[in-house]
Parts: sequence; C-alpha cells; structure tokens
Amino acid sequence: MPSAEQEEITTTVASFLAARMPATAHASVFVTPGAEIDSALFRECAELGWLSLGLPERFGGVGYGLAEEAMLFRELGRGLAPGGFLPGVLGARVAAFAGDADLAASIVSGSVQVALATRDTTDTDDVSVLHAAEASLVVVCDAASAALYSIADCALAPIDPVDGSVRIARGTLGGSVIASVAADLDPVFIRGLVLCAAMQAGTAEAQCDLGVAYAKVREQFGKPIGANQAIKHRCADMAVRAEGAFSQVCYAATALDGGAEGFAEEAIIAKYYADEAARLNGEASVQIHGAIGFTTETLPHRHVWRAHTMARALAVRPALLDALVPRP
Amino acid sequence: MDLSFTQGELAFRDEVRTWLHENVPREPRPHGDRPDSREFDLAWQKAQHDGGWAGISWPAEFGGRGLSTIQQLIWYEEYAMADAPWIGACFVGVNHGGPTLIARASDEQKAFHLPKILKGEVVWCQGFSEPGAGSDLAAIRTRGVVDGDELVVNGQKIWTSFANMAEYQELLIRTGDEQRHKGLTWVICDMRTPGITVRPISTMDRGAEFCEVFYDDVRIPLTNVVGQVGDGWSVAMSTLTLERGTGFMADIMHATRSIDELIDECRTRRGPDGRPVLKDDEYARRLAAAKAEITVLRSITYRSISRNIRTGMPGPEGSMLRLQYGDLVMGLSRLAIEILGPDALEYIDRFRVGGWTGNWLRTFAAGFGGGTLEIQRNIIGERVLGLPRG
Repeated sequence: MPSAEQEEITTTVASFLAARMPATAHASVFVTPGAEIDSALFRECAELGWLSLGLPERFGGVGYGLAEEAMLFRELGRGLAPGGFLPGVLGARVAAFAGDADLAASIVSGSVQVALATRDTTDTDDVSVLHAAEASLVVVCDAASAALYSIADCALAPIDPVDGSVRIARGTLGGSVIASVAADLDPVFIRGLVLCAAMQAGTAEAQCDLGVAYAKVREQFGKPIGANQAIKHRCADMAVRAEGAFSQVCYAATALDGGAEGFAEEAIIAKYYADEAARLNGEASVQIHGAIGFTTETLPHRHVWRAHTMARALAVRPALLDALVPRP
Repeated sequence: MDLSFTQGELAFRDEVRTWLHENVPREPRPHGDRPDSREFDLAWQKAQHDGGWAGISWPAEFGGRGLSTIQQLIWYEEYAMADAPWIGACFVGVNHGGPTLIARASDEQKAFHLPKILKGEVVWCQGFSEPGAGSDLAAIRTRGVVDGDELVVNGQKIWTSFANMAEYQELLIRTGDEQRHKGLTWVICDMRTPGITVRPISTMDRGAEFCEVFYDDVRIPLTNVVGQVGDGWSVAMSTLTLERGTGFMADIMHATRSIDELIDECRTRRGPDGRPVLKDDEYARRLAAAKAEITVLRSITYRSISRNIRTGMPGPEGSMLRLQYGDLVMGLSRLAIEILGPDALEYIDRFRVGGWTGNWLRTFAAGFGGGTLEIQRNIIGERVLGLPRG
C-alpha cells in the first residue's frame, strides 16, 4: 500500500499535468510540431524534482526511494506526459555514480536533456532512441552496466514515429563513453524497467478508466452498453490487469529499495506484465469505444501509441521472458 | 461440395490473371488526407470497366459481368493474389449502393446511376450510422418531412466514409412516426445539395475517410426515394441477400498472402537475440497457427459459397466469417508488429511495402466495422443457435 506521502506525489503530479500539459485528443496531429516538450517547462518539472526524486541526497537528489519515483512515473504514463523524464532520471544516476557531479547536476536541473537508447539486438550498437530531438546525451543500459554517450557522436536519423508525441531516431551508437556505472554499484537498468513499468501501469489504468466511463454513458438498445456482459467482462478484465500491473510495480520497487534478494526478477516481471496490461487494455478500451475510439477525437488511441512505444524501450517481451526463465 | 474447377473455369482464371498482371497499378494507393486518393480509386475503377471487369457480380443487364458464383470467386482470389488495390472510395457504390439500386430502384434511377458507378465517374457514400445509432441502427433519428414533391431532411450522420469526396449518398432517414425499423426511408442524396455540411474525422491509423455529415433543411426530390417512403429498412437490408460471400474471399486471400510474406520475411529477419525469427520456436509456431487459422477460414468460406449455390440462400455463416476474420486479422497484425521489434516504432502506411504498423493500427477497426464483434457474437448466439435474448 502506498503511504500518505506517496499518495501526495500522485496528487501533486496529476494536478500539475492536468494544468500544464493536459493530455488532449486533438494533439492528434500525427507528429506534434515544434519541440516534444518546451525546454522551460522541462526545467520547471525538473525544479519540482521529477528528475531527482530517487537520487540520493549526497548527489543533490531528493533521496526518496524507487517506490516514490514509481508513483511519479505512473502519473506521467496516465497523463501521457511528453518529455524524456525516464532517460533523465537514469542518466543523472549514471553521471552521479560515475563521479561526474557537474554533469549530474546539469541533468537534474533539466538544462541538459537525455535520450533513451535501446539496443535493437543484444549483440550490436544499432539502437532505437526515444526523446531524441532535444537531447544532447543518450543513456543506454543493460543488466550489467549503464553508460552515457554524446548524441552528437552517434549516427542517428529521425523516423516518422507511430506515436507522434515522442521524437524517435534510429542508428548506431558512436564516440566514447562519457560516464558509465556497473550494475552492482547502481542497478540503473533494473530501476529503468520498474519506472517504465510504472508508466505502462498508468497507461493500463487510464485505458481502464476511459473504457469504463464510456461503457457507463454510451447507450444502445435503450441501456448503457456496460449493462451487456460482453462489455462488462471486458471492463472487469481491464481492471484486473491494471491492478496486477501496478501491484507488481509496487512490489518490485519496494523490493529494490529494501535490497531484497531477487529484486531484478521482480522488475523484469513488472515490465513484462505492465507492457501486456497496457497493450491489452488499449485493445479493450478502443473496442468498447467502437468507432469513436478509433478516431483521434478521444484519448484511447494516444495511449495505444504510447504503450506500443514504451513496450519497445529498455527490453522487449522476448528478452524479458528469456531473462526470467533462461533456457539451457 | 465440389472442389474441382471445370476447363472453362481454369481458362477463365488464366484470362483474369493475365489481365490483372498487365493492368494492376504499380504505384501504391495514396493513403490518408490526400486529394489524389479519389482520383486513384476512380481511375482504377475506370480501368476495370474499360477492361470489361467492372461489376463482376452485377447482372449483365445493368452493365455488369453477371458471372457465375465460381467465376466471381476466381476473380476475387486472383484480385488479391495480384495485390490489386483496395477498392477505397468506390466501395459503397460498387458493393452496396449499386447492388441496392439493382434490387429495388426504378428503371429511371438504375439507368441514371448504375453506369456512372461502374465507369468510375462518381463516388457514393453511406449515410446510415448516427451518433446515437451505431450497433443499434434502428434508432435512427435524422428526419425527413414530405413537403410537396420534396423531402426536407434535418439531422446528422457519422462514420460516413468518403463523404468529403462523394457525389451521392445512400441515406436512411426517419420519415414516419413509427418506432424502430418502421417509418424509415432510403433515399439517394446528392451531396452537392445546399444545407449539407461535411466534417472529416481523422483516425488512429492516419486515415482520413471517416466523416460526419450534417443536414440543415436539405431538400431532396421525392423521385430520389428508392422503394416506398416508409419502406427504407427493407431496402437497406436487401443488399444482404445479394452477397454470396465471394467478396469476402478477396480479404481472406489478402490475409493469406500477408501471412506467407511475413513467414518469408522471418526466414532472414533477425529477432532480438540476433537469430532469424523463424529459429524462435514461439514465433515459428504462432506463424504456423495463423496460417492454419486463415486456411480454416478459407474452408468455411468455400463451404458457405457451395451451400449458397445449392440452396440459393445465404446461410448463417456471415456473422461467423466476420467474427473469425476480425479476430484473425487483429491477431496477425499484432504478431507482425511484435516480430518487427524496434522497426515497429516507425509508422508506414498500409498501402506501402512493409506497411505493417499502418496495417496494425487499421485492424483496430476490424472490431467494429460493419457491426461490432460483440453484436456478431449475439447474432450467432441468438439467431443461429437459438439462445435466449439478453
């Protein structure tokens, strides 16, 4: 169960998002013009501690645990927030634990933005990079270590993304490592999995809420469509998946904060399950909405796009499952 | 059920294949909010007409080919195998409005409209669904009041594909005081009539054919009514009896092609562990299962067509086909984008080579297009299996 302090993070972040960067259906231009997020707004979020919540105080962070950070990222997922907050948090840790206090400070302040690279296959430097447009650094991590590169040294080309609210580039990592940290010093990758899972859990919850709300008000054949078992059961399944996704995020975050044995496995399960929950709840939510859910005039499609994107960040389904049960 | 084709049918298949091979447009159909998509669709319709292939299932007296059910089946199979374009803006005219006119319109109406449809001169759209009448189509509220020799129409339609580029609309309105299926009228609406406002609605696959249509004192001559005033429901439903399931074959063949292409691609495409995707037991078996499922769907369609030929009546399989096809294409595109891994981050429209992401987004519409899958399940449960109504 989240504490009162943790619940407060949820409320504060949710109201800031609603006031300052509300998720709208009509941001339905398929690629949002201009920057992914205004740089002044990004710095303002940084001042609120969004990039430093879980960073130890000795590195200039707020000093909360991963559990508190997960509450923040759940809201960022639920609210379809733009901006590279996930790579910012991970990049700040790499810089801090590698001993580059100045670099960590500039990331935490939001003045230097970080992009998130995921290797396309385990054995190459081919990467797909989220939040690429405004970043000057790129963080790439795996179970063994995490590293920062200069984005200018990488050979990247922008693509036309399915999710037009996230700028994506693909190409090859290049140049020298600016800072790196081994996983036994700080498990950056595992923390990233939990935070990404928290975003996906927020998406799964948002889709559940959207679908349920619509099933209550949309009437056909003289009654709300939610009165039909076919719809009601879909809603129940969404609720179960949303509950499961966030519960696993909480467990994994708490396990890591407590230094419990097996936290890595819990985090892998959190990412796998939350990716699935976000995807399946997206399919259910669009289906419940019917044709209106297929248009860009309602929110479900944006969560479908975002869930699709985040499921390809850090680690994909086959890799997560293979890590869970390694085969001989 | 007879699985063999006659010599004549085999020769026909050769003729169809040759013509399609020589005439299918090489460039992909323009996708989304592109003004040239109408031109593309009409030009392809005209090409089929000039080649003698328009209205493949229409009776010869109305300018169609009047082919046998088997020949229609062959045409649609070859059409899909030749990767011929999606029918696009010509869908309603050729597959719904036109056949409805054939079944119920006056000779004057047929003589005026049918040739234009077949020659690719006009686009038709369908004005059935309303914001409050989707799955529950009989809840239509757009009203038409008889005033002299005209109907005066007020109200709103939605999900009217291609209304922004259409000349004509098959419009279903409430003209009587009766409830539900009674008191409806099916009328040909000229989309250039004053009082009509069209608003396009964009969709999650970057499609741009959906529209909302508003009617503000739109005056339509009573001579545009098809059938009788008040008899619109039966006119709207008459097209269903013309459908013999052959048109569906093109969709199935297209999906079959897609699966085979995906399997081929997986022989060389590297998965997240660096090996070819087909070396991955999970993907290999899911692809095999998809191939099995589409093959079964083909068999259901063949059996359905065979039964129609024998009895002259469409069977109850329509909803089963729709349901199974919807589930299958959604599952297939989901599998494809999973296999694509990071390549699936990029949007590529469904008409371009490798357009799996556009295709995946499009298949969200397979869950509700032409009636939601939930409604299809209800129809199977109640009308086919005789279960009590909920």
